[in-house]
Amino acid sequence: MAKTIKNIVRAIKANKLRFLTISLVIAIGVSSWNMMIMAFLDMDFTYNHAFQENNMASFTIQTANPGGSGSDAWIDMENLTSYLNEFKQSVPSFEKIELRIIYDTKFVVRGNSQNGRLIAYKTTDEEGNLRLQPDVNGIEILQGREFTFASQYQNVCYVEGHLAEYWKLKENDFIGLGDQNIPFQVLGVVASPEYLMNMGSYADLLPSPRRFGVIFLPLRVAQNILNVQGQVNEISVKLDWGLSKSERKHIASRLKTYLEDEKGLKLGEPVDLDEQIAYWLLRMDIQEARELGYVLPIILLGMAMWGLYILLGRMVVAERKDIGVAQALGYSRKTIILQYVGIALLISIIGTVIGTVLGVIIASQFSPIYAKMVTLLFPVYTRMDPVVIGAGFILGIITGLLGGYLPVRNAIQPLPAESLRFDPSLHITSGQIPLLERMLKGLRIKLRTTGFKLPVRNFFRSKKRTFSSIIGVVISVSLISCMFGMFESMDLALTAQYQDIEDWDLRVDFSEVPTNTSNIVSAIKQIDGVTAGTYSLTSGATIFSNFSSNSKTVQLIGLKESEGYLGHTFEFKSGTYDSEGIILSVPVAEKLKVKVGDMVSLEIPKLTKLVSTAPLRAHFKMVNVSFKISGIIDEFNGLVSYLGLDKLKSVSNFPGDPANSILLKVENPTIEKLNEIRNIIKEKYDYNVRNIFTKEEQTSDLLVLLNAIYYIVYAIVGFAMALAVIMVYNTVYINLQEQQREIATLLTIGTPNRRIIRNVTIENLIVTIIGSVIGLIFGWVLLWFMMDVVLDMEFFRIQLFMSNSTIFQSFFFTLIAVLIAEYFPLRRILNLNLAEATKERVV
Amino acid sequence: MVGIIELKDVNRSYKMGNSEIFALKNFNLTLESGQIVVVLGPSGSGKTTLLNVIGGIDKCKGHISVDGKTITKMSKKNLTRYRRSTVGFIFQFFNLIPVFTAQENIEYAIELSHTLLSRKEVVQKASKYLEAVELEKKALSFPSRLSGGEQQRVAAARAFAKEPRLLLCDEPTGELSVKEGRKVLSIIQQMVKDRSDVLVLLVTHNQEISKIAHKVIRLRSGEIDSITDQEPIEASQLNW
Repeated sequence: MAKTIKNIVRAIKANKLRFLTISLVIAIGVSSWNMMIMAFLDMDFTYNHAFQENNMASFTIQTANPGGSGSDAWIDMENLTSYLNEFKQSVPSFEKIELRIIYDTKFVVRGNSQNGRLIAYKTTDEEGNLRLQPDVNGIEILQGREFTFASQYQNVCYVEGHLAEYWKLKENDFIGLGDQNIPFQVLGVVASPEYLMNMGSYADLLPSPRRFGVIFLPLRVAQNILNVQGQVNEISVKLDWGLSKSERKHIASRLKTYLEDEKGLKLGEPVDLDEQIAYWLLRMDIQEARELGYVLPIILLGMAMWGLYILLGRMVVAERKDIGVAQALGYSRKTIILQYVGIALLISIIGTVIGTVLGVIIASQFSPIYAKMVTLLFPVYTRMDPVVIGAGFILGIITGLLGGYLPVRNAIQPLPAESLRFDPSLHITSGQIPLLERMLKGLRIKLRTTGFKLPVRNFFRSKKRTFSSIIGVVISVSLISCMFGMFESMDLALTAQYQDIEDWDLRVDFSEVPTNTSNIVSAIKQIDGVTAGTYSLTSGATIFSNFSSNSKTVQLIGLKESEGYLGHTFEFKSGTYDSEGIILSVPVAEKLKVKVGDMVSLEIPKLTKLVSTAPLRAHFKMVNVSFKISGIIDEFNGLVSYLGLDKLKSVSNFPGDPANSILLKVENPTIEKLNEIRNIIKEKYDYNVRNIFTKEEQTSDLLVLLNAIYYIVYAIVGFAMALAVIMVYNTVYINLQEQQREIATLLTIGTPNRRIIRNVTIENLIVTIIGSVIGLIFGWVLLWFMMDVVLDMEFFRIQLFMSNSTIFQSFFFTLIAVLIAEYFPLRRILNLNLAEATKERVV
Repeated sequence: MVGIIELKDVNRSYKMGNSEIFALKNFNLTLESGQIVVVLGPSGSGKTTLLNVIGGIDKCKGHISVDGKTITKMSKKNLTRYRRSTVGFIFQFFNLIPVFTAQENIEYAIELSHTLLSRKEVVQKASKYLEAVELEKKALSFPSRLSGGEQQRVAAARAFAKEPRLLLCDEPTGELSVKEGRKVLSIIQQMVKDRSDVLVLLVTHNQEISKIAHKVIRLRSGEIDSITDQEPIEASQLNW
């Protein structure tokens, strides 16, 4: 055993650079495992901690008409409290209740008007004592001071962190609230688990504090300014955290039924925790991170295993005569195999240890960086998970064992005589003229022996060698092309969407739905520069298939065609626009298993009682209406469907011309012109305008996110190149080692160094070209796998795309890596002692 | 006969642990062209080292000139040029390029040393040398398909095809049977007969082979033990 260990150490010392490179690949694989899995677990823990510590509501129920007035908008708090206390008796898992006001309104921040939400909660308990936190949906004060007893009589507020960060708001600043621009003093900046992602609704695909912000008020203050003293419009309930979604929904449904049927209240649909938008988005985020966290390290470790397999396999072939001598001296086959497996094990242990340490260090840094990227304001928890570390360790060791044992087991012949007879240089020769050369000969292109003949023949001299030469290039090109392809696909989808499909220059979003939108549009069209205008109504809807039990909740957009202008240029996969039919996106159609011409059923709100038209206040009931699918679109927004607005209006029983957005085309839409028009609209319609933005403003937030992804892509490209250098270095090294005597002979008979370099470079160029072609095919497959299987984002529909520039760059970067890789072994070979190298074997 | 090789105070040593082993020690020698010189000696006597330093593939101290050019002062590039134009090698283990056929191995050497020849001329010349070693039927065979003797004959043809001034043979019959060895030695003898400006330096441990030489140099421990001039016999008469 001692001898075996000595031999192992000697073998590693003799090939330390090559083995170190394999160790590095294993280290990268193990560190990526540790980093990604632990980062995912950290984020999962952080989110859960934020939700649990701050008593995130299991469900919330708002009144039927939360922004309105009357009995369907507001509930007496005292009565509601007693109803809830009564109900609570029958539900043991009821933990806490919080009654709040949720009201969407306008803020004025540093002179700028924007949309927002005020959330008001009681700052005193039942006994009238000050309490610092609501019982449900708590908040964390990041900066500033707490509400005091006096706060319930003062115009003070907390500002949610995203809004504060955007406007640089801090303690003692002022913001204006509502149409009257009532000044409120900022007491502090808070983080809220409900708004971990700063989104007001599912409709807001590109959340930004510029469009939506949240402030927190003492309940009494909100009641006073809204003139709803003693009333609330939202119930937040916290149940036992361990309940399932169906259990929560059941309790919520029972509560709604109880309050409506027995107490005569008018309530909206309960919103379960899982459907709470920030919670839902972050869960999806974690899900994707988890998938990527498993997939990427497995790919990397697979590559390391492959690299080890090639390296050790060819090492054994090259050392066959030594092995034959050892066998002839009495060493058993088992002992020899053990020696090589020992080498592989030692390499993998070194790589695993390095990878584990690196992974733990990087994970502790990665989670906070990621949290900053997604603007997570809660503290990030980083922990070392021994199970993950242990699993990573085992994976690293298995990589080494499998990568070492498999090639060695077959390569060591049972009979010493076989091994002793073996001549590596003859073995690696296929002994025929390659097909490529025969084809060239057919075309009367004859290669000179001092020209391209030698590198071409070397490339094809043995299938195993050719294959192992190409694989490093294939991996590099496929990784690089996949990464660039991912970025390009996203970029193209955005460009197509916002340059071609979204056919508007300025968009006006209303706070309340006006019913005289056509008049508003006509008036706006009079503004100098506005060439076309139309409007749309966006709401949520659930679509049911007539062909399966599937359903899908989508963003439903009713489009008005105004003098031929729709504001949207459809990218049809099939079908066409029909104002009487419905247009579905590809993911929705796939989920429902429907096609053009099929009928689907939409569950949409139908107006049953009109309360007021300005603003639109009404009672609704949910109805199912059938539509024929007129078209299926393949666009960036994945969960969207379109109807003609007139058709939507008629089935929903809306009065007048309702809309929540106006789309405008502007002649010569420079920034100055757009701002000019924006200001005119603001002046005239400021009372009801939530937001006016240009297309560039809408996309800028997404582009910032894309830029962050760009850095990740480049990091992976750098890694892919490093991997290519490592794998190509190893294969070139082995190739040259096998040809050592040949090259020494060529040098001895007078071949200049530059010709040797040229031949090796040409051979590697052939490897790179052929490997690149195969690598690009794999790159496409990997791109499809990453985008459609691993990431599988419902929200955004991204068509796979890889530009010529990507193809070229993948080839070019890999070629650079190959040329770097060949430099070191080539330098070694060209400085050999020729006298020794021309002998049979160099010791 | 014109003098071709001159060695003056040549030393080549190797470090083995703490000791210094002299492969060549204060070596002095002058040889002329148009002859076969056999270098004899036991293992470690320095015969292969002598071949290597004259061939410019090993370094040494002292002065070596070949054809008036001092090779011990040459740069690597010039040494390569020297080996390309002046020296032919025949190795013990043949050292053919395994991906080239017998014909192509010879063509390579010709293209290397005769850059002005057309493709057709190169092929014709290679065929001629292959014929000279009686392997014209094996022109398209790869080394893996040739016997040891055939490989060595191709190697000899490759060396001759460069038309070198100096032919260095390191145990050319070491891996061959007696019959094959005689054939190769006959070819070498014929080359010297055909060209009076070539010097063949042949290293062997086999006393019998030394009978084909015009001069026999015996080495011992890196020094010349004796130099004997003799009348060579035909290789076909050798028997070992």
